[in-house]
Amino acid sequence: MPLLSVTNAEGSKLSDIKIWIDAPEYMQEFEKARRIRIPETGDWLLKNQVYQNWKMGQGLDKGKVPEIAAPDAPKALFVKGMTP
Amino acid sequence: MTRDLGVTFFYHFASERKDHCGPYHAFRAILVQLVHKFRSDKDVVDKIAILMDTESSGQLTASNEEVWAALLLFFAQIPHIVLVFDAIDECEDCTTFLELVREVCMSNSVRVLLLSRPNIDVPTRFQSLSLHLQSSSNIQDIKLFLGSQIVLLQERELIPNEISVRAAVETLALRAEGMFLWAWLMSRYLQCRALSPRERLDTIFETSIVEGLDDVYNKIIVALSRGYDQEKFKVQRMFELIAVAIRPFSVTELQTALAISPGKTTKNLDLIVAFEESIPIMSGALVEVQQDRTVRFIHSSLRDFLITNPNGANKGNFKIDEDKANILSSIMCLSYIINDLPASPLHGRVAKVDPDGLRASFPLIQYSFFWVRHAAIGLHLRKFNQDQLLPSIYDKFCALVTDFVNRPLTITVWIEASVSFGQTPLLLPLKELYEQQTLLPSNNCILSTLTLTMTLLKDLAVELERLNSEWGYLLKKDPSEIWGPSISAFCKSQFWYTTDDTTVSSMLSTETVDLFPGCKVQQSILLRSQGSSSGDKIGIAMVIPSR
Repeated sequence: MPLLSVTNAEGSKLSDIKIWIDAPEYMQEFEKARRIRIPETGDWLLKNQVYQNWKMGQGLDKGKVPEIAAPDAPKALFVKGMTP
Repeated sequence: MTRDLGVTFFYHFASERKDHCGPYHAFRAILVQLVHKFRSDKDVVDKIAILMDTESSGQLTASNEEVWAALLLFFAQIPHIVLVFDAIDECEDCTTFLELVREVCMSNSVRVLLLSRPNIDVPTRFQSLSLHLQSSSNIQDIKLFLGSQIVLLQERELIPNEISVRAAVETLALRAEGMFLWAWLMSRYLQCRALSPRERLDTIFETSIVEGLDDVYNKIIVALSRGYDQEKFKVQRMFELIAVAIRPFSVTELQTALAISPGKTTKNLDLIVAFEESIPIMSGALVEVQQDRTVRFIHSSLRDFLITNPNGANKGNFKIDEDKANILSSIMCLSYIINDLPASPLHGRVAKVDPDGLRASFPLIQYSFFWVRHAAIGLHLRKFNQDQLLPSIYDKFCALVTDFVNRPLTITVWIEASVSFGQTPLLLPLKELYEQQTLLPSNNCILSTLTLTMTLLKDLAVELERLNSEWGYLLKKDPSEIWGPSISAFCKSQFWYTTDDTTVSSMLSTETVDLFPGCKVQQSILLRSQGSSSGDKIGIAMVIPSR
């Protein structure tokens, strides 16, 4: 989709749309995590086979990894932690 | 992480923000990110604008269905969207949320990454991949983090430099058992000033001293318990206020809240100095100040740890009774309204009568409106708690409410302030509790006092409903109208300010009134109104429909 510059009138329309949507604040947690993140944190997830399969839109070959899998390349990936 | 997957949007649920944990809050956040990302795409923006202008219900904010329709519009047009939702276990309605996510996944262009604690049940018909964190999965991450923390402890001379960083990291990382939170809390505990270097080393290398998350919390709590009584009292109050907060306090709000002594005016001398810097020190780093200057627990699990329950792991210090904490919060808010807000029009007191101007002059004013919700929650929870609530707390609550109800000027200020913040002054939750007769303290003396108090509140609640129904539109335009002649004349009440500047005289004879017993002026039809040339009189002609 072509990128066009945003005029003042369009900016005003955008502002009205954002007010209408009335979204809660969402950047704070992300920025906090990004600020304190030590490099290489989270690499284990990016290298995980289940994550790779989800990323590539592939199903999972049962038996190769211990995680629970669903067939036919599901679009959702649940990552469940350990803290109760 | 998802850079090569497509455009990524996200939302993090946080239970401290109770009013933003609904399923649609997440999708509103996604939608606004989409709009912002594609703000240069005139076609897409125009479609949303048309949806807003022509298809919407006309409300100032979009309904959930309108948000959904707008999202589906984006999903149909934009390929390769990735949505990331973090901490979905803290969503207030996870079942509905997952149903919505399932619907989103039916779109070809969208993929979703969901992160949560292990206690979420995934609906069986929801086709998804699952990745369960094992204790070895993130051990490298935990080691990276702990390494930096151990080095920091040595730089601050809190542990000897001779200690092998690698050995300390290895032993702690194994004990974390995959729980990053454990490692985080352990690092906070090791920084406690009350600990000696020996105690820190014992904690690191003696495996029996601290096992599991609750043990770490207990250790920090025990360290806090070594403080002076007044300090411990303030910490207890801080924990209670944060644990039951309707929404996170700002630093200034919490500073003011802690300074309040119910029934008295709060002075600057009552405020804790350098409060923002004091928070982590006072709380053993269990409370932290966020970037937006709100104050929260270091993790939501701390709240669960502190709240009293039969199976709780908290070994006694700084326990929180949820019902008591809510009633105390209500007392705090009500005391602020009565003693710290002026008993006169706000528009004469502050340079700018808008939310920012009012907050600058009265830091706790916006939070103080929650006195009704806190009281309703606290009294509602009471019926499930078999322990006796201290009579002094009931007495204090009843005394303040009775005082409030008998102060027309204070009630008028409360109405003006509420409307200035876009809130409708209501007592509905308390009125409903009273009518359901859920207020059942076992002490008969307390019961009679509470019953009398709630009777007074009930009358005020009814009057407020009438005010909001008949004059809400005018108050929204100008909150100071509550002090004006119109409401005083046409919506007179013993509970708020009245002025004799305007009087209403009826031309109906008493005989006419008697012919229509029970007839209310509200049911009449306005025919005509006319102001006098002097401007100080207005005539209104109305007809009462025949039966």
